[in-house]
Amino acid sequence: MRTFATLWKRELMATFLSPTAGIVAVVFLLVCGATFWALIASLASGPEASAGLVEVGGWLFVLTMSVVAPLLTMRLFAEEYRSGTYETLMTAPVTTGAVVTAKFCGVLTFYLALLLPTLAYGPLLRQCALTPPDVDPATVMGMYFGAVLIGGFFLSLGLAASALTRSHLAAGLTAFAWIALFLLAGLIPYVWPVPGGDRWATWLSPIVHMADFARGILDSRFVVFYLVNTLWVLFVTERLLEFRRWA
Amino acid sequence: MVKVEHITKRFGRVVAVDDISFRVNRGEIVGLLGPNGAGKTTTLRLLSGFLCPTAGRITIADKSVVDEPIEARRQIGYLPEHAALYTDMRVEEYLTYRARLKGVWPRRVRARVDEVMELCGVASVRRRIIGQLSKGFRQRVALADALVHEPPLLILDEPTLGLDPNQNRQVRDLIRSLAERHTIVLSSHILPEVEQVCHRVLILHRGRLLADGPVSELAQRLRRPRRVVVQVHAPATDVRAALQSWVGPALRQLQMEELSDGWCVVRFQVEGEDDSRPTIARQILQRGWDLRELRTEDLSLEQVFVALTNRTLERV
Repeated sequence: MRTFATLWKRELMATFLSPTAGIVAVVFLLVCGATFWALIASLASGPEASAGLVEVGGWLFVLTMSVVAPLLTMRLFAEEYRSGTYETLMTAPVTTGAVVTAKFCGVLTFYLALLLPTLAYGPLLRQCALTPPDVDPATVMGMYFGAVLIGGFFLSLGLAASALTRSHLAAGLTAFAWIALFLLAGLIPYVWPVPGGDRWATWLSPIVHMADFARGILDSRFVVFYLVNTLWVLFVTERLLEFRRWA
Repeated sequence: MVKVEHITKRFGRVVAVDDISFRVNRGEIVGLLGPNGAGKTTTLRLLSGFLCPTAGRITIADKSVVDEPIEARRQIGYLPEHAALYTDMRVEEYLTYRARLKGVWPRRVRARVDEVMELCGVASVRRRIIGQLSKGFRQRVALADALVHEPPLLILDEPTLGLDPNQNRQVRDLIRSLAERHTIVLSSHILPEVEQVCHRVLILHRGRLLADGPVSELAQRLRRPRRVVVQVHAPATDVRAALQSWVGPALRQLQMEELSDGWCVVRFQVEGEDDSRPTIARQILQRGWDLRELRTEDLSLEQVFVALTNRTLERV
């Protein structure tokens, strides 16, 4: 546990100090701010205007994460390979599993820190509005829960891509390609109608999942889907690194 | 301390290490020598547990590097070929992180980091960012990292690579001073360095172990003729004729050099085990010549190395 904590702290510090993470934080908060502004604008225009806003918000979040996750994770292993510190790291008495978990938790913590300022939006809205909107706490919690689950899964894909190569760019592009494939898989039934396609789309599409979470619907199947897939990708990453020792 | 039994490492079709076996006893300093691509770094990476052997077994203090990797790694302080450090960290911060990672007792971390910084001469740069340090200092920080958890075995891959002569000497002195408390396995292609520091030498070539033993023993195994150097005050032609009669048919590769002040420097090889020096000294004095030098030249490690690798090349 002490080893994990040491590795996690190092990863968190390295992420906070990296210039990419700074740029990502600014872009992410700008997108969140713009979404918030759009929400206010549509609420001001009346309830009809904000009808499809949940879906649009879901799309916007998933698309932002498909860029943010590769940018945050691309250096995690690629940089260690490139600079040679991977050899120093893996000859210390640490398990490959601890290294993978610590790197994932480090970047996940940074991501959670990115979400933190958005918590101020609610109270801000309440302060500024003449008639404070009636916000359902379940909706807000569902939205954050979904953001953490989907974001975590995307970050795990980015981590796995980073373990494949010493090039930051290649790692980032691979992660982006994987996330894009996952997004497109959810759209296949709309483009190519097949029997039962809607069910598949519901199962695979993170946009549908995010919209459900944002409505305050906590479907345990989706929770399990993201948790299992995240753990599975982390496990594959660990095996991949072990394979490198034997190859 | 280290037991290597018939290890082989293949990268696809390339055999980087081919059926190597050796042992390193506690307190020994063993040098791993070989030209580029001989398999030195791969061998050290196998010892450190960074790579797993395709075949064979390695144990460090009776812990298998493959089956008990964490326990085995606790016994090892490893310095990779290019001192790879986190360049965004400060020296003290980095060593503290590494000490914690390597399981140094929390209350002992600070004291231990101070100790290794003093020992490796990096205390003066403890607050500096590693990325801003010179190569010499970085090498010392990497060495301090290898030492921070007080491992009984140090594995050093080209510890003086890229250092200037002064830094080179400092690191060499440091390694020698560490020998009192650690077993050391180091690799180098700088032969005099290994000759000065190591008790024993392993010579690798094309992934195979060509020789294993003390430098003097390796030279003996090669059965090279003994090389004698004589400086005598006499005409070169007289010296040549005299030597041919004293040493007889065992004389080989005679080289004469006449100095301007009348001295003559003679170098030659003598076949066989007999030491011809007492005879030569006696005869020179009998003739009334002045003698100011009479010695045998031991085979340097470089000559051993060249001879061994050339023999292999001839065989191939």
